Amino acid sequence: MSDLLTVENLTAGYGQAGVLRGISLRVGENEAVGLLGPNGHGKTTLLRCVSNLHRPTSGTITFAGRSTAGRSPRDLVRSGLIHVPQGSRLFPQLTVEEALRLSAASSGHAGSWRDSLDRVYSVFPRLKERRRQLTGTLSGGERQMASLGMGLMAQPTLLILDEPTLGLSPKVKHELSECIVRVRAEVSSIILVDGDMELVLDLTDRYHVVLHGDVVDSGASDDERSRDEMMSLFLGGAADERH
Amino acid sequence: MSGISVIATSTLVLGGLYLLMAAGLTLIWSTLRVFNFGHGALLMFGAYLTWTLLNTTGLPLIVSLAGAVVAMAALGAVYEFLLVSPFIKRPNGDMLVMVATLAATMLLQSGAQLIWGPELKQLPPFGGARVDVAGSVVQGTQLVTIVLAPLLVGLLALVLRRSSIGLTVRALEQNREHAQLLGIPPRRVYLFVVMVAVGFATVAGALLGSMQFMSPAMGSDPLLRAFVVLAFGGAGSLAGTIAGAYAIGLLEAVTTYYFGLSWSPVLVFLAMIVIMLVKPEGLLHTRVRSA
Ligand SMILES: Nc1ncnc2c1ncn2[C@@H]1O[C@H](COP(=O)(O)OP(=O)(O)OP(=O)(O)O)[C@@H](O)[C@H]1O
Ligand SMILES: [Mg+2]
Repeated sequence: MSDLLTVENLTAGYGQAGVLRGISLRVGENEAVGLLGPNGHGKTTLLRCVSNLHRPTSGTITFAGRSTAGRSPRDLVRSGLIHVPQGSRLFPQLTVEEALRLSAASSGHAGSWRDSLDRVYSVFPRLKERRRQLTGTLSGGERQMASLGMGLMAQPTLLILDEPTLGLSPKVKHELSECIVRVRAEVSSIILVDGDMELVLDLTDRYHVVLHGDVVDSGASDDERSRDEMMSLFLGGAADERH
Repeated sequence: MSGISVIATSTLVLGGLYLLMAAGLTLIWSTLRVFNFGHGALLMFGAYLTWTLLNTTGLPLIVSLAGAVVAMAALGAVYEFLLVSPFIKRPNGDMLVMVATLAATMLLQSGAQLIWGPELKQLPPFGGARVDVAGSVVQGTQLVTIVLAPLLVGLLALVLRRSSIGLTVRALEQNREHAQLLGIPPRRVYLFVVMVAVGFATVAGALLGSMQFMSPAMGSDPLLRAFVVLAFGGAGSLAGTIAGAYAIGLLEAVTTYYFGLSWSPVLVFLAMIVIMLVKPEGLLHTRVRSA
């Protein structure tokens, strides 16, 4: 399988504090990759580097055969790399439909926005009900749906989802995970980061565990044994933090 | 003229001028998160440029103004290129940009002094139209200001609401980071808002330069008033800016009428202090946005 995204020896941080320590990973075409790991170990930082919101200190990132160094987020969006950020408050004064349309237009798909809209509404029927509502007044679950919907409107090749179920109740989480299954069918490749380990493993082909800014464990998501190992890794990582 | 109609006229004239200034400043504030201290000097430069076009080409005043607006918008692009984009993405970039716009003020004022010299200049009235209101006459530049300022700002509001560039401007001001992830190019939005804001300041400058003598420092007072407007209206909201501009205009008209020209500024700033005490969130503050 050829790689859509490769990250090699990436280091990054904020000021003096190092966050990523030479992390490497790859995402193939038609592949869903999960990232797991405790809070604050650099998952979001990695994704922000991938979409060029944050500049890494060293290392290389290649997307669809081209280096991403020095390219604008807009350029990456237009080549199909779409990042749905963690905990976005969206655009409080825009309606759901305005936001969806904006995403199609600014990613260079203004012409086909109506078709995309129909597809998004079939994946997220709730968004259709709420289409005239301001995104600032949506519930947490609806906001995540709108955020994912905006991602789909941009016609991604690689869709990056950072904590789509953060802060949602189990019931809403379940509803959303069913939506993500449908999203999965719409795009070639996905990176999924989420605190819910079961959900990540259910929805992806492979997983990586990120600890202290590096991958410490990888495997196939349907491997039963790996789940137990991961629990102990997580607990080990959390124990580290106490020192 | 009766007191009421004098006050009403100068409220609408002053409010209109401040509106043209403050609308641009609000637009810049809400997208770039900086206060453009150079706005007064840009107003001044636009006024002088109109004067030069009028006197060298012999074109009608309104055409000279249109030419100056275009030229000043181009200068606005240079301004953005030299003063905003090199600094805005750095840590503490907003402070750097504000210092840079202060420096630009000095540069533009000295430049105007060199180019146009110290002798007094004034633009002719904008047309001879006159309207009788309740027994008093409003005419020329005053009348044009009363009509043109809300018209232009209304047009801006419409563009922001309805056009696709307007949608990107609003998206960027509501959530800069997510806007970038949608593929919205911040640089283009910055360029757009600075050019529009400078164009508006040029119109305000020409109107002012037709009502009083021009000088390199002629932008300072309008800049201060526009700052009060932003404080009053809560920077970042166009509706608040419109309300603020006419409120400050009214305040200034009333205080000038009853207490005289020298006391009016004091009272206006006193009002600002009271507003800040009562409604502190009004000062250069909009809703908290995500990074
Ligand atoms: N803008 C920033 N400035 C300074 N430090 C930051 C910034 N963003 C993140 N950090 C720090 O970098 C580290 C990694 O953060 P990051 O958000 O990448 O972790 P994460 O794995 O995504 O965590 P979570 O699961 O909580 O989302 C944390 O210690 C965090 O405090
Ligand atoms: Mg995170």
